[in-house]
Amino acid sequence: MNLQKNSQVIPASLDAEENWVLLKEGRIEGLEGVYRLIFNDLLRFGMSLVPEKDFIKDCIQDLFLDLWKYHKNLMSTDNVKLYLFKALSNRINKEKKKIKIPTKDAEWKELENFYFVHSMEAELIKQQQTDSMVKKLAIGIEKLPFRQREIIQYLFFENLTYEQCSLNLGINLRSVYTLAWKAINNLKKHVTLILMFLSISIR
Amino acid sequence: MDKSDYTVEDFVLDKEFQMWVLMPTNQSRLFWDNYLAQNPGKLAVIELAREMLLNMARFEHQILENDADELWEIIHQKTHDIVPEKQESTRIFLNSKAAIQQTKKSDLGGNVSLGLGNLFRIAAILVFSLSLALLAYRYSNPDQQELMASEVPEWVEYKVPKGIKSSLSLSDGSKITLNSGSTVRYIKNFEKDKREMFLQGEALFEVAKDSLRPFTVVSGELKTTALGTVFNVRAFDLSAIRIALLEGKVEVKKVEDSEKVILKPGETIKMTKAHPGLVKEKFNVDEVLAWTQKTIYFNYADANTAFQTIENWYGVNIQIHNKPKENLRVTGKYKDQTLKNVLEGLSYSMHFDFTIRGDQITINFR
Repeated sequence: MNLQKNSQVIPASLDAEENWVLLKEGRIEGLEGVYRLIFNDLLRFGMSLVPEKDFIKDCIQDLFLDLWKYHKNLMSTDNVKLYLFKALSNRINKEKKKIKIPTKDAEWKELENFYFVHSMEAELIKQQQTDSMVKKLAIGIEKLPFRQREIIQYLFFENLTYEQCSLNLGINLRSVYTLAWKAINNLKKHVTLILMFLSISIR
Repeated sequence: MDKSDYTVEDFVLDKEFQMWVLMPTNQSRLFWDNYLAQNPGKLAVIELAREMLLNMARFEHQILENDADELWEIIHQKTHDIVPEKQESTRIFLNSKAAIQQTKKSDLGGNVSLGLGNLFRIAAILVFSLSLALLAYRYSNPDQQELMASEVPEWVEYKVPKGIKSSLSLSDGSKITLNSGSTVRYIKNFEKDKREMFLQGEALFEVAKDSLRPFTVVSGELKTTALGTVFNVRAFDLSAIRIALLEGKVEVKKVEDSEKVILKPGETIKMTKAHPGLVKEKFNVDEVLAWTQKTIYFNYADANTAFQTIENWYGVNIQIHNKPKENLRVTGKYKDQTLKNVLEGLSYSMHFDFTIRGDQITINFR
């Protein structure tokens, strides 16, 4: 038996769900545990909805203060990340009307400062992809209406199932599909312009 | 499902299509080759859908390393100003701190200003969060942690301070309710072939069935092994251990030698210094489980036992002046009562006066 000498120390690498249980019991380290595990994902997700870091950080701050304030009424969840995505998205959606978000067009010039992330096995087919296709899709996503942008994040970047999307957005499966279909439809319109251009220039 | 009138959008959203594009298997290749042979007109549509899937990308905004730390500082600061909303209690939580505070306030006289009241509240919350922070300590470096996890078993310890009760869900689905002043320790996620808990204090175990990994509680010299049952182990004083079985079947064995007994529901084992053998008795369910129902239950208890229970329950220190009569015994049930009420109740039957100053209690036997 390999008991550690100092039994006061808890070398607990609790996962988000275990920390959630602590939080529900009013333990601040549960709140911190959840925060530390999920902050990066939340910030990234939030900024994919509204690309304003300070605004998203404010939303995350308020979200965690509310978690603390209402920890006794928190529901049990087997997927803390999903739960917090939902809570953050609702908050962003509510608060975004209060701030002025600079139009994307003005920001496009700065695009070189960003880098692109491919959620899927993009490396395999790198030689086949055109940088402009990637960029066009990324820009297309940022131009989508809020809920369409959200469903794209869920389906293609967070790899949620349709069922999970349905739970998180609070709409039925049929509506999830319709919403996703509209989002892809908008992206298609965005992308086909560039494809036409490409095929013309090749000729 | 008929996919012959699929549009680009349908293909992009089709799980099987996604699989074929992103993680093709022989089976999916066969299916889609066949599909294209039957629907040659779909080639252009499929090409576009494939391009979109392969190139799906989003802008990744830069996240700095100190983003998380900075914001946590602010959040942590602000939590101190928040008084959590009143709870409907799902866990057993005896609000002894509140009881003590109330006493403090009345000690100061009726004229406590609002500011001072808030000060107490904030102080109490601070003390509370600080003590909690001491209870559980996480390594700050997750990489290191994962590295460790793969090499040595990682021990998790939960320690519930006096005056607080807590429940705990384990990864296997089992539930533990911990009494005040109790500690459990176990290997995170358990080992492959067993679930072993080390207990000091008192806890109720509701064990999830897992025939491949027996659930064992080690308390002092006794080992209790179960396969899916509910039992209560009381081992505050390791020379006086009591194990009570509510459901299922457990085996109680001495760690050192081979003496063992099988308990049936309703049976209890008591082992004390004076009676080190394993002898079965019947037990009173109300008495054994009282603590999980916010109830202090004295059943013909002597003064020492009674005051120890109170100290542990409310997280207070008791000083006793003048000796109580030797044969003094007390019987009673206090459900969800404040410290003051319990002491008042006892003071009549046991004939003593008491004063409460913060967490210091003085008892004067008459």
